[in-house]
Amino acid sequence: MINKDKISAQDIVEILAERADISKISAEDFFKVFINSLEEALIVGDSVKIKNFGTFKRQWIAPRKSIDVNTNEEIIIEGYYRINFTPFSTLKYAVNKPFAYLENVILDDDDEEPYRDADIDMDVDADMDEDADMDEDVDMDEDMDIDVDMNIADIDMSDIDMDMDVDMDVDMDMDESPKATGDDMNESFRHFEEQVNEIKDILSEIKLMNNIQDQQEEDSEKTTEYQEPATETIAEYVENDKDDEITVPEVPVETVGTVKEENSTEIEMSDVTKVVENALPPKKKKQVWYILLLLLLFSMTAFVLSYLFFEPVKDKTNSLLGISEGITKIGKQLFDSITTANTANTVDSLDNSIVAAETDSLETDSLETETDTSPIEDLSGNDETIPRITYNEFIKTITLDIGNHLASIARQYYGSPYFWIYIYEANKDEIPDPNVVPIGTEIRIPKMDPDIVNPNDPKAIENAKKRARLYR
Amino acid sequence: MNHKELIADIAGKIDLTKTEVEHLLDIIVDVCCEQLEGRGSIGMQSFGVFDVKKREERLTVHPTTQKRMMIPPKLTVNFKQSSILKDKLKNVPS
Repeated sequence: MINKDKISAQDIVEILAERADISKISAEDFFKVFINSLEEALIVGDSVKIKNFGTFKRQWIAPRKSIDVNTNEEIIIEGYYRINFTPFSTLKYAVNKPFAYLENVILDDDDEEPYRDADIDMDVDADMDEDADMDEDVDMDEDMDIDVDMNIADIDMSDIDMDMDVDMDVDMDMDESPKATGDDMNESFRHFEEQVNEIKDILSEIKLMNNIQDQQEEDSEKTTEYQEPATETIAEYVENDKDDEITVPEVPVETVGTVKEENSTEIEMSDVTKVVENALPPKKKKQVWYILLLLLLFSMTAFVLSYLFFEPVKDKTNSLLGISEGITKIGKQLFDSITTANTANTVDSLDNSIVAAETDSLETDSLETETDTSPIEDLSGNDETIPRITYNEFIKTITLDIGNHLASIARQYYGSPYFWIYIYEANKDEIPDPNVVPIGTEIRIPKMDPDIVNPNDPKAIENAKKRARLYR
Repeated sequence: MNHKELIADIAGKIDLTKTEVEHLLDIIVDVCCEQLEGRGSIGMQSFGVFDVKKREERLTVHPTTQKRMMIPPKLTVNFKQSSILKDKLKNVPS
């Protein structure tokens, strides 16, 4: 009935006439009279109340001072009467219907609107947790750094003699470390002396590795970021180790199979080699080796945990394992030998760790050779994928017009411009350069296997592109 | 002047009974209400314009409880008198 945005008095009169079934003239008369009496009453100063509509009231607006915006002069706005209209409550409500469901909301000092409260609280809690985690992580890292720094500082670089001085600071570190119970230490010292030769071998290997690690340090800087979240879990794990030392060896053993060339171990290894490089009076050296082994254990547990619980690491490692099957074989052999040697003894566990360190260095070497050879295989594999096609049958022979080229012909006959290469191969004798085909050249369109020139198959297009690359 | 007085006033000026006037007045009010409910506006020349305005939501502080309140948005009917009516009112001695 009423579908205009704005209706005038005239429209009201028309609708009134229609609904009341009276003539327009009488309707207009009535409306005018209505407005007249309304105005008269208002001018006199009376308020007018219309049922279901609202109340009109005359209001005196007092004169007030103001400043002319343009001239900055004070002006006085004269007082005047204004007609105020207060809608009836039914009208008020009816008009506000779209927003009627909304209510006043009391806001507490801390919170936003109640319906958002839950979400915000959750967010805040989560943030808090993250912050806490981060703090812990940072602390852990700092402790580690300090330990390493102290070692480096305490060890005299030039002094490689077998000096028996025991550094108090290193002792302190040892006490803190999970396995530094007195008897175990003595036993393991003897064990170490037996293995001095072995250690020397490893030392030389690690020195070789150091060259590699200079390059890898950049990489390791990147990886430190993703290593951080795992640190907390490592801490927990180490705490468990204190309670149950027998379980410890299993972790590095497992790691030998999986760690490989993973960057996280390389970071720790670089620390290890730094310390070794700066070696060292032998007593100190032994202590240092203890710490090195602990670091190694740390890194290995870190990797194993991240491998088990951190999806990207797993993927990356698996892909790396896929590249170097040879390495996994070595890893398996070592795994077997270590598991046999593993007699649930803390000293033995240390032995295993040494072997693990050795294997790590071996593995990094073997990885290098592996990566050197792999790209060559890829290249050689490329050529084999493109079979030769003989073109015997031809659909049609056409003459090249102005504005036509091989791609457009291919689009016309095969559905995709990428298949121009087949036309070119079929007409290789006539076309010396596929990019410049002279006008008037007679071109035979070869009959192709629909699978090869299927424009909807991305593989077919890819093959055509590969083939085209051969002629570049 | 309330509704009845207005009807009586109109009935005195025009040749119609009070019930007829009331009926017609009701129709006018209905038309106006329908128009305003549809967020339309009504322009009555020489009298003024009715239209619907949206009052945006706002934050306030309750004066006694000192609690912050969110006042939801609201649609209200506004009336603005025409300048003709304003001039007519000017001539009235206060």
